[in-house]
Amino acid sequence: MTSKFLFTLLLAFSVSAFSQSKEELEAKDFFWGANDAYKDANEIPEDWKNESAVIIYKNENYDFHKFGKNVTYTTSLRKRIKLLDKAAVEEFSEFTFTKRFRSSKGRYSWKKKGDRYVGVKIIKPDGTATEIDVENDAVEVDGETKLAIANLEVGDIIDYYSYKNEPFKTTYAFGFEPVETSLGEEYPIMDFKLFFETENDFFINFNSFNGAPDLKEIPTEQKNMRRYELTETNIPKSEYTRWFYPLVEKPAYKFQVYFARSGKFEDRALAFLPEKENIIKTTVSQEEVLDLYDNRFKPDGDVGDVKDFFKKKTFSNDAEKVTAAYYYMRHFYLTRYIEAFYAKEADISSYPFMVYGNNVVFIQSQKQFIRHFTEFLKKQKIDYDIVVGKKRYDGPISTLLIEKNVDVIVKINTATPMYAQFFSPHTNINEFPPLMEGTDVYLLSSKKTKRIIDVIENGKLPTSTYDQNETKKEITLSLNDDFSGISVSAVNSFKGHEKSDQHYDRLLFSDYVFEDYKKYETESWIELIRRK
Amino acid sequence: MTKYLLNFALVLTLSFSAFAQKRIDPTAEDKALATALKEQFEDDNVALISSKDQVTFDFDKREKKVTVMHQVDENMINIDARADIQVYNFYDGESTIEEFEIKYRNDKTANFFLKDEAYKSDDLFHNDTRVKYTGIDFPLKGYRYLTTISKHYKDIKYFTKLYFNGEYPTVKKTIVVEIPYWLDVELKELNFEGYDIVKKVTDSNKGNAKIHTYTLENVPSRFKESNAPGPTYIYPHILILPKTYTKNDETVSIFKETQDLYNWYKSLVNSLENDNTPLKDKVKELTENAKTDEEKIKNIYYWVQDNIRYIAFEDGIAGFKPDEASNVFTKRYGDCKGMANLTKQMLIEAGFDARLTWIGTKRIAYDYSTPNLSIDNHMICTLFKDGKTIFLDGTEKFNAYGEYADRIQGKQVLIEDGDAFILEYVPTSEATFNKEQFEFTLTLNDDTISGAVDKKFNGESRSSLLYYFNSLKNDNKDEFLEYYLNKGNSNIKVSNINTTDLLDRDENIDISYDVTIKNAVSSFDGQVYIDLDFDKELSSHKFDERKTDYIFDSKKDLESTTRLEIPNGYKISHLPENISVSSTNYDMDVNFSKENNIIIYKKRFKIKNAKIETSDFSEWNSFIKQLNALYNEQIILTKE
Repeated sequence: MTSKFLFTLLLAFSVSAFSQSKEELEAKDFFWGANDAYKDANEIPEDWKNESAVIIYKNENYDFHKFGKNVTYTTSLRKRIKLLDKAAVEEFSEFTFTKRFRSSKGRYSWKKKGDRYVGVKIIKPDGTATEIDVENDAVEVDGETKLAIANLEVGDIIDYYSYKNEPFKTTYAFGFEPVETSLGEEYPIMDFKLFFETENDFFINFNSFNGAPDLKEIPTEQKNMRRYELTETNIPKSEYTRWFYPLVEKPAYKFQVYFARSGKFEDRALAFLPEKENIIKTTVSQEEVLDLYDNRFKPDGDVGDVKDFFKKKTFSNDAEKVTAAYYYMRHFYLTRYIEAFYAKEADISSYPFMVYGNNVVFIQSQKQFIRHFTEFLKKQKIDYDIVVGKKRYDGPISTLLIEKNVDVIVKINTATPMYAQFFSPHTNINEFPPLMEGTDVYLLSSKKTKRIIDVIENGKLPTSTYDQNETKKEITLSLNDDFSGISVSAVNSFKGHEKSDQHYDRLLFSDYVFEDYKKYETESWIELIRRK
Repeated sequence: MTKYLLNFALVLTLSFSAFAQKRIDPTAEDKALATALKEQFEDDNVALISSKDQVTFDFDKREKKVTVMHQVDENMINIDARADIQVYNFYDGESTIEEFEIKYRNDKTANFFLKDEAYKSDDLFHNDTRVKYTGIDFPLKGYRYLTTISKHYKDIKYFTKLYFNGEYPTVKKTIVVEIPYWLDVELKELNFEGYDIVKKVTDSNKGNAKIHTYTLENVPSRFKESNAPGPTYIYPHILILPKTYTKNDETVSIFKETQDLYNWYKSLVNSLENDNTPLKDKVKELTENAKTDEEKIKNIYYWVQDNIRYIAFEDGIAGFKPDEASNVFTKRYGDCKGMANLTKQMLIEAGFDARLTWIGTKRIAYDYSTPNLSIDNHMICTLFKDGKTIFLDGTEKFNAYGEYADRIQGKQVLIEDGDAFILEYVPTSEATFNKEQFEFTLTLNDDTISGAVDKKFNGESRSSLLYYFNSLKNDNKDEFLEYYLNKGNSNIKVSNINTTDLLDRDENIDISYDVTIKNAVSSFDGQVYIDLDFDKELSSHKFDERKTDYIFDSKKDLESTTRLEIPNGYKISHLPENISVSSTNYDMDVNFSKENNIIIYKKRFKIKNAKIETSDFSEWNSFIKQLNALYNEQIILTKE
């Protein structure tokens, strides 16, 4: 090697080393630089002096940038907290994080890695600030970095930030994980700021609920760049109680961001997107629901096996027919495969599903269930609606914003309407999650032609009564003759929604799977394996 | 077309693997053996047909250290219908895993993917221990695996003991130690009494070493019981005492005597700089206004307890060498060694004679007569003052000056004394020192019991309550106290709570409060049934199936007296019978008496040695049975 080559190599190395820490320095400057309005914020309100800790300033930032297919997703969190007792000092004494990581989003990249930078500062009661030398103080084991915070005492303020830069590549539309959270957290907050920066091709759904402040747009110099912020002061700490839905009662916000490159890819985005990037979508209308779901839930599926199952049977009415079909499908499309799953998990067989041939129908999602079940209903000429709703803890359907919140079931319009939900081993016909009972829903149906879904209306799901969900325990006690003890016999009975938990607790798969095989005249996995 | 090919490939693979399976499925003999072993070891899922430890020694000329190779060969058999276990071995900066093989019973290698991870401990922030492991499955009863794991120790110091009992029961356990003539190692036999361990000493083939072979048959697996004594108390094992080695006509001591162990510890301490500049101001602040020496010492001792967090870095030599006192001071964190060193340096700055002190806690059965790195696990500070020896443990938060935690009481300590050392014992205290005294003064109104309660906590019962209370969040403290006093029982309402200063560790705790209890009384037909005990201590301390001694975290002395005033117009028609039992390890007494119109219900539970031994179980269990019967019985009053 010539010295000139070595020199170039050295230069290249030092340049890259320098440019790596450039971003780190920028992050530090962003939080603690000249523009830090909280640099000397050390006081806390009298009311909160008996708390475990008080957050003087909390700042969450989300940055979305792209270049073609390359997305750079940067998130950061900063907290400036005054620690008022030993428990709080303990909590903030140790930090664990990963400095370098591969994004699990988009396409796998063997060379592109994300970075995480952490900065920690301690401010003593007299105002002196010391910055922790994270690089030297931390220890790294198996790619995980651990930091023990030196010189932390009761009465100190700890000011730390965690900055994560995550690059990834994606050709198709990509939805970031939705964020749904109440404004408050474990400790009371004096000042809170949520901040977004995005550009073209990023679509944002965002709304504030229950009195949380709205997101405000901040003017920017560039045409394609947009900035938004949500600020609030004096947020009390969240008390976590039972039988309580924080997102329905406490000030909260929900948002989801989508990356969709051009018209073609925007269509493929399976979500409720705002029309244009520069509009923040705050609600989803009924028309938009119909628009997204008319194709997604149209009837589709091979129901030939159901037809075969019905050959030898007669039913007095549609309700009976639907019930029989539901339980048949629960077996044929689900419980029939349970043995094979256990065989795989127990390493008894690496490819246990082979025995079922190539065209297995195995229903694994709500969408697949809806399409298959409505195909059956359509073929049987039984009228139905598709029910679109949300669980009660997510808020009413009128506040629909995040597509993931949606639950879909089928309402069968027999003489007395019945409901069918995507099955699991112990679900029954005419049953749907109790968390959806009594909620307002949307009903989708085909009115004009039987081929497409073209109508959306308001509806409401019924509620079960307490006696339909009764748990009854009949306990008989008898004393021994010598009063030394008691014999107890008990009969426990469970109805309605109480049944499924009991089924999961008390039954092993072998308790019901073989019964199903017998009832529906199908073969067990062991028999199929033996034949081959 | 590709789909067809893929399917074909799948079928081929499945049938091939099915074919290969037959060669390693259990034989009829294996199945029969598995059934027999399951009868013998009914609580275990896997057994070892044989387990053989082979230990050999070598010399590293460059480092001038004696090295050890420890190989374990095991023949595992599944005695359940199915078993999934982990095969693992730990190593650290002083050792390496040289071999880790798993084979089927036909000697062909089983392809399990070996993982190598850092061992994460809840107690240690950072350590250099890693583990090599993999999960293996036994799909059928009688299925077998052969494993070989070899671990190399870079320095014999770190090779401390060999056990016979392991995670799985063993039909035949063999330990073979080959000691070359140039190495003087004592294999100290501990807890061998009662076991048929066969020992043989032979010469090696080359005639240059002695081979010590130990065999034990039908070894049960280790107990899986909580609150058990440390393993060095209950299992037969060999303690490795490396004394000297002779190379090139020179004999070098390793740990021939306690002085050698001390020398090694001291060499680590001597390499400390001990620059106490950062501490001086704080020491001045803590002592300048103190009126007595004792006050000065307490201020320093309590300051270390309160302000130094326990964060332990135990990687490499950091596991044995204390951190600089100035470091622990500026970081405001450290482990037991760091806190002991800080306590020592601060006391020295204040003009006192303080020393570092090594100690093994109660969990370890050894003392310093057998020099070995596993005989101690803790460090404290000793203060020599006015002819007295006082021990200070910075890790025992809320421990009062002059009081010692049960885990170090009675243990031997090694105190530094320049080039020499001092051996002493930590004094023990009696159970009454930790007394909990409860007084309930109650009256009955209709079906509600109400009155006043006073609870006093002394000694270790006091320090553990203080520690727990002060670790809570500020806003939870009031709630906790209420919950602590009503035991989470919604029938009990406590109010008007008064406590002594819960930050003062010198004073005994006194908590007084008013109480109202519902649903403890049923009355009908002129009879009143009263359930007077809301605490019902020890009701679940039955040891029906237990095989090891039950160890309490400290000696206990509970004296609980309840005075219940009988309402006018009633007389006592039934009081439960008194019960008591007394023995070396406990004095237990429950007593009912009457004084005018007051029922006095007195419980005295004294656990004198912080343990219930297996020899006590029969008597103890029958007492607990009587106690539970008493707790279930009610006091009956009848209308006159």
